[in-house]
Amino acid sequence: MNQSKSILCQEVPVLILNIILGAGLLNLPSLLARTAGPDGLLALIATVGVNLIGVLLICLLVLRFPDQSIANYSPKLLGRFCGFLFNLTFAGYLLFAAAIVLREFSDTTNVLMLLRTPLEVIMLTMLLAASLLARNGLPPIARASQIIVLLLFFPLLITPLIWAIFDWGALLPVFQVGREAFLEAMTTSVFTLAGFELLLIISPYVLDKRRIIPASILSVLLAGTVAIVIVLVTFGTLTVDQVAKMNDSVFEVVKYMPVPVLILERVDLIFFSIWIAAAYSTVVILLYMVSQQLAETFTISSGKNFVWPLCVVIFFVARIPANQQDSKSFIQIVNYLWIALVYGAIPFLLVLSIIRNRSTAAKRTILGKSKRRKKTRN
Amino acid sequence: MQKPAITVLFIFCLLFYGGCWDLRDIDQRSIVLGVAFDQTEENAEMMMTLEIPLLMTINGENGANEETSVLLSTTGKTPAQMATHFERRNWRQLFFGHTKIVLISEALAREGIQPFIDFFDRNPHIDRRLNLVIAQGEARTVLEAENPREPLASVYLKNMLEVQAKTSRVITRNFQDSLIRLEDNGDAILPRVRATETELTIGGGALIKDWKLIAWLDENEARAAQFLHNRVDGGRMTVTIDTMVYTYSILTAKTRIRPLLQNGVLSMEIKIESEGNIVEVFSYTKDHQSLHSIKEINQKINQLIHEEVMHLLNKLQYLQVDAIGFEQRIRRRYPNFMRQYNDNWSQQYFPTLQFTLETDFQIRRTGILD
Repeated sequence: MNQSKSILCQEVPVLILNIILGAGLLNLPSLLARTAGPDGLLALIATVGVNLIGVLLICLLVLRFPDQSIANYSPKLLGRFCGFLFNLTFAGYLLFAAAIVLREFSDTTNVLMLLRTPLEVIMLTMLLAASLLARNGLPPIARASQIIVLLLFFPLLITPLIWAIFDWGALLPVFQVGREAFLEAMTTSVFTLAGFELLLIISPYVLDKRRIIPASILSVLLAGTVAIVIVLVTFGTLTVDQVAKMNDSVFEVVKYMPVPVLILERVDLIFFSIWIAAAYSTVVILLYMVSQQLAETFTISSGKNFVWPLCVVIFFVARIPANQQDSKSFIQIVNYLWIALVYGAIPFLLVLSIIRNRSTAAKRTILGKSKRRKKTRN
Repeated sequence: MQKPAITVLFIFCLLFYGGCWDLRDIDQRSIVLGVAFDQTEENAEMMMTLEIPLLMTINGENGANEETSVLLSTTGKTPAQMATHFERRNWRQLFFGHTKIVLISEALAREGIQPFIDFFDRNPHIDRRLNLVIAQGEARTVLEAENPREPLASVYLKNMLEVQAKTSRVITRNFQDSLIRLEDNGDAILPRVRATETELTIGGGALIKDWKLIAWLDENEARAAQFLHNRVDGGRMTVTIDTMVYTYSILTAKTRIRPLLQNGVLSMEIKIESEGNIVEVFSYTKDHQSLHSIKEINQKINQLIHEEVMHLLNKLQYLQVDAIGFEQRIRRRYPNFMRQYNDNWSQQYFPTLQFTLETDFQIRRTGILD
């Protein structure tokens, strides 16, 4: 393993937090309110619980191959051809995920801030800025993420101002939707909390791998808590019905929040700046992930040279949805891909690795016994 | 080779970061502080009036006696259409990000305020703390009020609403507060404003049913509504016992409303608690012995507020307007019970709903006099 590429174990939660707390969180309260009403909050808590299982599965898998990334060991488990196909599909998923985040960011910026700026220009600007960091590899990304993650917790300082307009009653009634609606809320929100699959790619570069499980669980718990607080605050201030009709309800809470001094009158702009940083770090990490995955699939030492060609592809993929409705369908597809990866492919690979390990161990035992027999005969 | 490429890339990025498409200097914008909607003689159309500050005169560049704002009016069928009409007459782009007040005239409000909401609700720049106010009479006259101490009518009105909230006789519901009530069942109580040539008066409230103005509330009714909204933040009340007039100043107030379902009978428990001081005892024949005990004054204040709140509740029941959101509270607590009244709550159940009102007003201090 190349030491210059390695990162500390405590940088893992920072990277996971940065990738999860990105563009999608703005839309999360509205998605939950539309599908499950007040029960959306419970659906989100359940989703965080399910994601804890997901991250644990990934950790168990990566710890079985401590010095390899998924692109290295998937051909060993699935066979060369199937492994290659799997690696390409995973890279494809990451590429689509990056395209979605980029599109979501650009659409929101277009609606809230830069009304006349062409969507393509916003996307290009973000891609160019992200590519500069993504090309420099994992350690600089981790360092930049450490700075950005501090900004992500800044909005929590302003939450006491929300108390004056917060109504606990707005979170009621609960347990009113059916199982199907509850599951729909969970499946639609699960992708918002996606990102910990990053471990599949970065795990070989993490020093002190023994701490990878607590670090990963901590990061999912932290990101989940931030998401729960955001949904709680949004539901409790705007009410579930109002949130359901809005697209980016989190910003509307900020515009509704009473502010004590005039300088905070447009506090939404501060939130917007922080959100841009959050979306930026998400795009950077996804861009790095897809370039690294492709590099390792084709056994190239660095993914650096993939970054700019990938930017071009991501740009064109992000342009595919014609409108907001199309974007939602697009997100739904990637959502299902993510569920298939984390709760389908990962457990399958984990089981395969256990079986292979046992059969290899059994073979070793048989070979050892036969050698000993030969020795005793001789 | 790599460094020049990166430099070029940075310059390319910087060009875009400048925001070429959305760059609007402040002098290229028409900042709309207030919007007023009025009925026109041709019923199919309405009139929209905007108050736009003149930034140069506010800065004092053109002398102290210059106009500080300009009022623009146009007619049309929808707010968006009228906003487009303005843009044809004005090269500066209209900007609603600093809008403080949206006024709807009494005549239009009686026909329904729903059509005016969407334009503002959908606008991403709108500050949701702006105030939606019903003007008694024409809305435009409010923006025309020329108070020599207040250069901008919209800011004057907004400040009045914020400062006079302390009197508790003003409805202090902002745009989003009003929207939460209106979009729930179409009923709400909105602030009211009346204008003379030089002054604005904002006491009382406008009672909205199914998005239409149906009645005005006087200042005492507005105070009762403020208590029920749990928005009382000060104010004074006077009670008379014998010949003595006691003025009670509210320091804190808190209202709890809780639906209660017992043996299939639904009732609302309302508890209003307040603490305050006596700030004046007014009498022409005052002597120390004739002063009443704190207990007696407490009792009288509690009686007064009980009567005021019950009067408002009876009025709302009589008019079948659930402007406080009792139905929403019941729906949240007893969703199964409410399902049977979903369609006819206001007509069938609300007029007969039982209220249990408990008031607990406590005088803490009497100033520096006993």
